[in-house]
Amino acid sequence: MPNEITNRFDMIVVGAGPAGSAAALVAARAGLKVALLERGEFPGSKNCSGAAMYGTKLINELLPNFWESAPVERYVTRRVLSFVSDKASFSVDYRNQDFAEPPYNAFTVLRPKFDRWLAGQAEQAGALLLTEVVADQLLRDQAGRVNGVKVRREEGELYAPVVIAADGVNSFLAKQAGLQKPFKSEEMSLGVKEVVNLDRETLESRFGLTGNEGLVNEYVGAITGEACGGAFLYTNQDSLSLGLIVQISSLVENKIPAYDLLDRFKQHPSVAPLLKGSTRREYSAHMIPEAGYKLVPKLYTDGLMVAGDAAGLCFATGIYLEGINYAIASGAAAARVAVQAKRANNYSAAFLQQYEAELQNSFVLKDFKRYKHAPEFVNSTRLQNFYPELLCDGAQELFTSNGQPKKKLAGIAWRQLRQKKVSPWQLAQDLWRGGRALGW
Amino acid sequence: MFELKLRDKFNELTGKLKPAQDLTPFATEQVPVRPSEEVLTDGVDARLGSVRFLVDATPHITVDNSVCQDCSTHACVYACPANLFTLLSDGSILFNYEQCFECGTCYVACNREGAISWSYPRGGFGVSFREA
Repeated sequence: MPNEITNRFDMIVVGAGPAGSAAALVAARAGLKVALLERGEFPGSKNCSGAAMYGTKLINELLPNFWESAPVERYVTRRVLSFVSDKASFSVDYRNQDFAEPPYNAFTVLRPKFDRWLAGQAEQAGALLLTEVVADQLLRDQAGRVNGVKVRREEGELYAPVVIAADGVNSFLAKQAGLQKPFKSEEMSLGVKEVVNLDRETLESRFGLTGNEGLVNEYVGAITGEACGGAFLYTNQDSLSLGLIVQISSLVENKIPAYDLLDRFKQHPSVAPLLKGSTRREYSAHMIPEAGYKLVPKLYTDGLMVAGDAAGLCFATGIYLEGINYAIASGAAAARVAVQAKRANNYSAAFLQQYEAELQNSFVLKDFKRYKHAPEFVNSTRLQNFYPELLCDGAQELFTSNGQPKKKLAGIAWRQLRQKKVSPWQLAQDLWRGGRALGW
Repeated sequence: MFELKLRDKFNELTGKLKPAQDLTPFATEQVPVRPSEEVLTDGVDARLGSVRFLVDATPHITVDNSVCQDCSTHACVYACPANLFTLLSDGSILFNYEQCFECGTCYVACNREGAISWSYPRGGFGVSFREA
């Protein structure tokens, strides 16, 4: 392994996911000698998400017209949010052909393919990509400043005046640096997912898509049972990605494994017909930092910056379910600060503080701050179970035609609320909480 | 011998208990293709057959049963997306690291300090997704 000449870099990035590869790309382009470390067989081989990738304008700035060469699946023109009870579903179905125009609004991607491509872009820019390398130990100089990482190899010390920890949700480096605290099971979610085959023609006619148009459908309600969470179904070129995201503490409280909930999801009357004829390609699972702003740690210390999931930058608010864009934005911002640090030859916490300041002034931390109440609201029991059922039962009352006198909307709503034993006080509370979380 | 777990109960109810040969421990590049009826209610075992695991000789996660002994919540059993934690009749936990997704859910769910020692597998080993 590395000798004296090759084990010194201007910057070391741990983790070749979207955050790490974006960081390596930006720094390498600015002329820094960058090592990009990945513990998997190849970048993306450990990575898993829905995956709908938003913020395409941002990626387009880094890599113009990336969709022409990147392995993206479909551009999203149709977004559906479904509230489900045991037998029914009530959906908001939005589609817009403006989203079919470059630079598009979102793409569906398969992470092992996309992340591999993105790391390749960093490599082309001059970063040294090292795969099958686990870096789970920070090195420090005599003053205690981070000055490298120890990888699990013989003579595995790699040195750089600045390290970017883009090592994913578990980020042992952020914890070792004392930036991230141990997680609580109510702050974290488990995602389980399947990719299933579905031939292009069937897929496009089934979901009302033309050419490379794609659909993102998210579900809340009975699918996750008493557990708090939601489900998703995304279209790829000739496959579907579908799965569930469930709060870990509620899986344990309800003593139900996530894969059983996945079965329930696939059997739901509104989902099963969409899967007809499909066959499984791959099952996967990943932990997701869903608690929002309160889980975002201090993002820097002497010689170290934290980006992507390692920094808790996963944005789950009920309306939005985004992460790759925040990962790329944070990685790129960290790299820009590292480039300035090299110019100033100053890698102190006081200098790297610019990184957090930059994120505070960009959409990244503005979004997290603005929606800081959303994760808690979205995971509340009434929103999870009661309101989706109310919508479905209310719709049933509205649409049932059985010779009985028809009620008007207010009458139906009033009866549903009384039937579900929700007091006006609770309703007012939820309206206030929901408003605070998502409205203003 | 084994306590009847929720999953088995679920499988029994739906009549979909899988035969042992469906438990493909180390799947190769070839992806098993199953008829769609089965895909709808597979539990976890057949699902794991679709995943590529490069298994190292030494486990990256260990369970200290002396800590688990008086645990009554058994969070790991319900939290693990690969069903790798099995509660034995004597109250101890049997753990198999080979089909681990390295997600971290078990140590986050566990409320017993020191029960689960968790680290990543050696470089290049462990789960290797192709589609996820």
